[in-house]
Amino acid sequence: MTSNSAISGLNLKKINSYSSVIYTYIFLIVVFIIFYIFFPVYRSPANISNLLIQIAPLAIVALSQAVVLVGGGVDLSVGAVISLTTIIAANLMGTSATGIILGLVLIFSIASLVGFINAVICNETHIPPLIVTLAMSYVVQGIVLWYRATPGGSVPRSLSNIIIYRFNVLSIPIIIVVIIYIVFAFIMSRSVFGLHTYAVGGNELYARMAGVNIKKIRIGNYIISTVLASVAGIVLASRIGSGAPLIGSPYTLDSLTAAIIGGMTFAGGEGFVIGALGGAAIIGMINNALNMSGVDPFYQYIFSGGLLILAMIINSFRRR
Amino acid sequence: MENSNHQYSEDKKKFNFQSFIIKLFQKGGVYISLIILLIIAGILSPRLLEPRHLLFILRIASILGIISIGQTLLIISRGIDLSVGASVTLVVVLICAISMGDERYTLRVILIALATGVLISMINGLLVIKFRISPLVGSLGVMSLVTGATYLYTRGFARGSVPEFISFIGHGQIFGYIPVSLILWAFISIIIIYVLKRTSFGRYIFACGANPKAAYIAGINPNKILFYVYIISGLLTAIAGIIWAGYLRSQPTLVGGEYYPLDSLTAVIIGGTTFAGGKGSISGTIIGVIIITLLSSLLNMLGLVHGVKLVFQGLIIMLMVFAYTGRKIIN
Repeated sequence: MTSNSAISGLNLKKINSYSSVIYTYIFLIVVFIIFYIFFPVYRSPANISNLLIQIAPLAIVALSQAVVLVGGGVDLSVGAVISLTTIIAANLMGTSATGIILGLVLIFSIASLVGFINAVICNETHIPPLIVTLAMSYVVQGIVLWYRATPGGSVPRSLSNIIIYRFNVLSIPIIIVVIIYIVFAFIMSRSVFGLHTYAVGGNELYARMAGVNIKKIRIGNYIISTVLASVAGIVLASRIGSGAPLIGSPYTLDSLTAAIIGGMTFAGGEGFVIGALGGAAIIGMINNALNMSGVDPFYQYIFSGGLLILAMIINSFRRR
Repeated sequence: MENSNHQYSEDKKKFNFQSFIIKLFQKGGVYISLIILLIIAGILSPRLLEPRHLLFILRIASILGIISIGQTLLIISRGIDLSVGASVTLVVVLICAISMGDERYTLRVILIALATGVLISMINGLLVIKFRISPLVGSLGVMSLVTGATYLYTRGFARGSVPEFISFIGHGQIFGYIPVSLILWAFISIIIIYVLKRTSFGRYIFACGANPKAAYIAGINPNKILFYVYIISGLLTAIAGIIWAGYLRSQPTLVGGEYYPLDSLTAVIIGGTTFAGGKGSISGTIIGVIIITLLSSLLNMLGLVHGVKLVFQGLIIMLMVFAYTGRKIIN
């Protein structure tokens, strides 16, 4: 009886959360229709494909933020990790195949190290994750600026050609995004790791009492987050063909906004990571439209801030 | 039985000793850290400890100091404000662009500055209280909005200069060596400490921070108190902005404000205020601010480039916060 009610409670909750995903995608379709009417660019498949490649890095970081948010944390170091990745990809790889592979190994190992340190500090101290990851972003950003204070270098052609290879409307970044999202939708809803992540985010104390290894879960979450951020960095660096020490910083706030629009909450333990894709697409499309319509680029700050606040307000009303 | 008893008392003894050390460090940790930092600074760069230079450091520290007092009040009452950096920058830009160094506008720009600070804080407060948004994320959004507004207003390039009086606040000295901004900081600190310790409003702040429900049952409206705290914090941020504008004089800047949120949070944490709410001290925050400013000044003196400074700052912040807040004790 009790287990039955528990299961039905879970199902009810699931339906509720799915509704947030559905709302996100309805919003996305509305935004797309509006742009389809007002911007002729949105009617050509080639441009849509371009747009998707532009959105891909944000979509990947939004996923990393979503995973951490579900686990009850937040990761503000993703922007700095993206910058670091572009700088390494553009300056340290060389052109040989071994150089590229070593460079990728270096990128992923640094990214996992950053995530690991984030998680360990969150695990072992009373410092809130927001402060930990903000301080970490200072450290990583500092290292990047130390190494190279100005944009420059070039990503090896052989790598960037593979990563932004496109056939018709499809392209490798889109495939990467789709695969990563499918994998993580599966991991978060079907695997023990995913369920434990929800448990930790929902109520740390109960999760611990139920025998969840909180520390391991958190380490996993933060490593996933920074590694995905570095994947986003590689896609971004391949697209622009170069590295820049500050290119990642807008992604920190945008990824948070995307995840929250997608139904994740700051409290944790709620939402479906698949929603973050919709959130990222909405933000990417709005930014793109702002660029194309010749609006002052400074308005982008106002839009991203306003959108974040709006998403939070809608979230808080939905939960009442 | 006896054995286990013995072990128990042994454990207790050991625990007491440990807790004594922990308590000693938590009570006086911030002062110990300051002394250690002063010694390191004295060894690495003796020039830093000259009285003239120390006063200069305190003058710069007063900006962060006043912001951090507001942040301390907010964190005691379970709020937080990451938009302080953006609003300080906006205040500086507004003062410089509106007055253009004209004496007649002095009072007007000061009022505009205070109104701006309070307005931004009220938006933050409303988001938290009326819409029940997490104060962290809400203020992140507000930060983005304010930064956008600043860029739009200045078109990416800050210009103008400040009237003589504001320049006096930022640069002036009384008796030839005591900075005006330091006096302002001390004055504000004393008032806030008095309010926290001696008035019923101060007790309400602690009560609402410690347990909003209990405070509500006791007849205090926690939302109202939190809103007042947000307004006070906005006023303090605006005052800090005025000092900064006076310090920059004719070179207003759009950057530099972005470090205030983390710096003020660090000062608050080092100073012993906890994120659980209802606990904290202004005096600890003041020492925390001095530590951070001294540290950044030391890194400057050693001639490190910007990137290295950022790395050091981030690392030392984490190290000190860790040393101070200690390990998480589960159960």
